[in-house]
Amino acid sequence: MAGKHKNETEDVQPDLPITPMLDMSFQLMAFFIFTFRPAPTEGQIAMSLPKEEGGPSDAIPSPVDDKPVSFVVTVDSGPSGTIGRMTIREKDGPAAGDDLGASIDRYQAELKKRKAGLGGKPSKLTLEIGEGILHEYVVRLLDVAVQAEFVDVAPVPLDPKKR
Amino acid sequence: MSHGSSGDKCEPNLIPLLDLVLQLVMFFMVCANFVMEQVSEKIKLPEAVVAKPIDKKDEFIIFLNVDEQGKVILSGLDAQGDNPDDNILSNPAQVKRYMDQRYKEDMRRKPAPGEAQPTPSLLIVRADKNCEFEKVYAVMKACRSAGYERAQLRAIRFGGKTE
Repeated sequence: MAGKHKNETEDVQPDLPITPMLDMSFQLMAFFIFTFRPAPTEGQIAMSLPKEEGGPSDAIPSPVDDKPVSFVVTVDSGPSGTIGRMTIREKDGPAAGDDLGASIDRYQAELKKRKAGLGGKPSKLTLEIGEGILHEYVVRLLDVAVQAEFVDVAPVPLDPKKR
Repeated sequence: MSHGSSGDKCEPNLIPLLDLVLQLVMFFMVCANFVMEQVSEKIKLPEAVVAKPIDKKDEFIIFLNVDEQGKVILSGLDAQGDNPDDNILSNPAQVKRYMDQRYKEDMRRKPAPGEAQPTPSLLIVRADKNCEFEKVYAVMKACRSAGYERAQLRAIRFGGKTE
């Protein structure tokens, strides 16, 4: 600040040094611009946790409640943790299911068809995941199942010993 | 700014510029994520269309960051100290021990009005997309055997930025 002495009669105008302040502000702004990373848009997919070993498997069914129709999708692993082949069957139905190949589109179409065929009955979907399949593909299968309006979806390993 | 005779300095008015810069600095300061809550940036999440944002009703949430090798990384508020090794749970037995401890803490909490006992925290599993599903499942199984019932898988909402 200029240290001028003026007569008492004259108005004293304070001279704030704006330039250094502006310099500092620009530096701060540059720092924040360079370090700024918008947070990724994350969200959740609801899923069922595995059932407790030895514990009660389900709540006591009420006679008035509709028993949910359970479907099982068996997913075999392909090369490098991808989806190899899928089959879909009703849990209480025949053991050999319908072959869906490795196509997610066919899986989606089949789920939608089966869900529409239930006519509002409660349903459950179990995904039996083969060894070595990556989490990315499991999330994709869950995603498609929720899109097909399945609410109760439980992914489990294909090998019953690992459940 | 002064007009006039020779010897007067011509000074640009920097104050509006400084105002603007300070406002920008404030914007970046507010948006900057200095602490990424309980999430680990090492985890690359899978993408999903149906991923929904966190329900605001869920006050108590435990984030489990599962890396590519299936290890659980505790970060942010869940961290158990400054030593990085203390915050890595390498196997399901360690996860079970940690979750048992968290469950006891949850049960010591005051119950919500109208509830007989406290509700256990919601688990949000942030698993790396390249992790094998079986390893993610082992973590979820450990949580289930500790007493937790509610879990959600975290994913990048379709169209969201991954990095």
